[in-house]
Amino acid sequence: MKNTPTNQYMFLVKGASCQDGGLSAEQMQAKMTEVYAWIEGLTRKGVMSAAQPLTPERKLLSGKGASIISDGIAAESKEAIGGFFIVTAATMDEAVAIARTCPMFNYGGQLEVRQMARLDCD
Amino acid sequence: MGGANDSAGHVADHLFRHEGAKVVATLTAHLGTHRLQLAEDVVQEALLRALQTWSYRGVPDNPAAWLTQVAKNLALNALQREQRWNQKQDTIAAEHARWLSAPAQDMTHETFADDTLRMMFVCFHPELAVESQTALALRTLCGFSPAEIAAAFLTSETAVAKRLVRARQRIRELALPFAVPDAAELSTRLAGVLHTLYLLFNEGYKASVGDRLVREELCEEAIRLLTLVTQHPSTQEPRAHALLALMLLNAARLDARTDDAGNLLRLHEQDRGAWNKAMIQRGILCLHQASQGNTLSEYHIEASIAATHCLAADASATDWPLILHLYDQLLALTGSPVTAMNRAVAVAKVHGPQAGLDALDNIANRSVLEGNHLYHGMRGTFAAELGQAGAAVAHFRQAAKLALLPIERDFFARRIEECEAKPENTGRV
Repeated sequence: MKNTPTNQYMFLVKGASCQDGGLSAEQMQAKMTEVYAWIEGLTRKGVMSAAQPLTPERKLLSGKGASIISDGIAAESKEAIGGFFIVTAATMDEAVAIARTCPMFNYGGQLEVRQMARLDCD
Repeated sequence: MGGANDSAGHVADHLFRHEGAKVVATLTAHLGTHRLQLAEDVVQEALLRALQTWSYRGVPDNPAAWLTQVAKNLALNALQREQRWNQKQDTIAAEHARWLSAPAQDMTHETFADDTLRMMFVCFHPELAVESQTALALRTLCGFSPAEIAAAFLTSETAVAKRLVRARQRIRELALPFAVPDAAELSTRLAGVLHTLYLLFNEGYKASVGDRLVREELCEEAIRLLTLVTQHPSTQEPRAHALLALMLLNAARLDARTDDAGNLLRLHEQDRGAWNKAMIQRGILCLHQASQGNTLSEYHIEASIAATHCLAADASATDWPLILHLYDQLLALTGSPVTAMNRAVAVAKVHGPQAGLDALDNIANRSVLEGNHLYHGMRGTFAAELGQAGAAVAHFRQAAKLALLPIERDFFARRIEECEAKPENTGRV
């Protein structure tokens, strides 16, 4: 299958939990069900190979010998990363097309799509 | 992870609401009723964490244990922060810390059921105002948000929030115990629990005000909580079974009460095929269980009336003499003018519309019914059946004026049109 090259793309999820504080239990369940159904559908098709949430705790290390440790930006920030997906696609356009189907956009989420660098040379 | 949820579609309805409420009850059981607010806050946070994690990974095999563990950790953190300011309660704090740091895997259905039942006796405590009882029950026992409760009761979110704050304050002031009352007190306290569950059900059952879905859920929730009461050894009394039967037999007919356009339908217009047969069967079974013993509550009689309707193959096969007999019994028990008013329908079915009108006229304290739209609707119906179209229209107009809901006003408007389409029968009055 050399002539259908595939790449892996990482979707970084940002800001999707910003407004969750105001959701009722029922609304939370609706959102959870919707997002998980999307992931499950793509997993069944073999398109998604990883879906991983991240906990809100965050430490930012910097400086010589990691001398500076801070909490970085708050978990509620629109910039905070809530999790990531890894999907398989032929091109960036195809990856973007897959990303557009993500229901997180209905909940104020953002996805940053990045191609994972390849180490092979064909 | 993921075992309980091979497909996202398999997530149980209301899982977040119900599992969250269980954990609130369990935390309150261990930390005390004065910590109700803390329990609710940490459970809300635990649900948010669940949303974040389960969205990616699916629902764990034991969601209640997962939520309990997260909520316990959050509660422990909160209490430890607080403890620095409050060193006095050493032993209690240590006990709480011990339980909060123990693993949550030992939670069983029975434990949760016990805690939920005890929470019911807190929420439905007679020292709390009835509006507070129902709001608190929907918040803590059912997991509704203040906005959803407001939608159900057609009031503002702020008003609901205030009610909840007052209720929790009152619980703290009274230091209400988190327990099923002992034998001496149980009978009256159970009566209070049943009565509030009955109100909760009726709130959902009466013609659709506000958000229809939320209102149907009120009925479901009242049935769910009452089922718990009927299953628990300390509270499974005949009157509890009778009330459950009543709720099931009415809820079974909920969907058939309106047509596709949302218009209210009269009993004889309803599609009996749309009645929920499984629910009717369950209701009849409950009624049998209720008849074991020698107590007869109003719930028994009301459930028997509902059962008589449910068991009739069609409207014309309804055993109205039996229903009238049951209403006679009910009236003897309650003496309420509303019961007497409903009895008049059965009187009219058995003895004709004039007898129905006479029955209404003979209600002792009839003046309290003058402001009731159903009373005027009934007078209008009887008058129309007697061919007195003019009188009927006047009564239906009065009923429409008093009705609060558009769906009811439309119903009376249709009755008025029907009357006006028919020629007046002036021959006999």
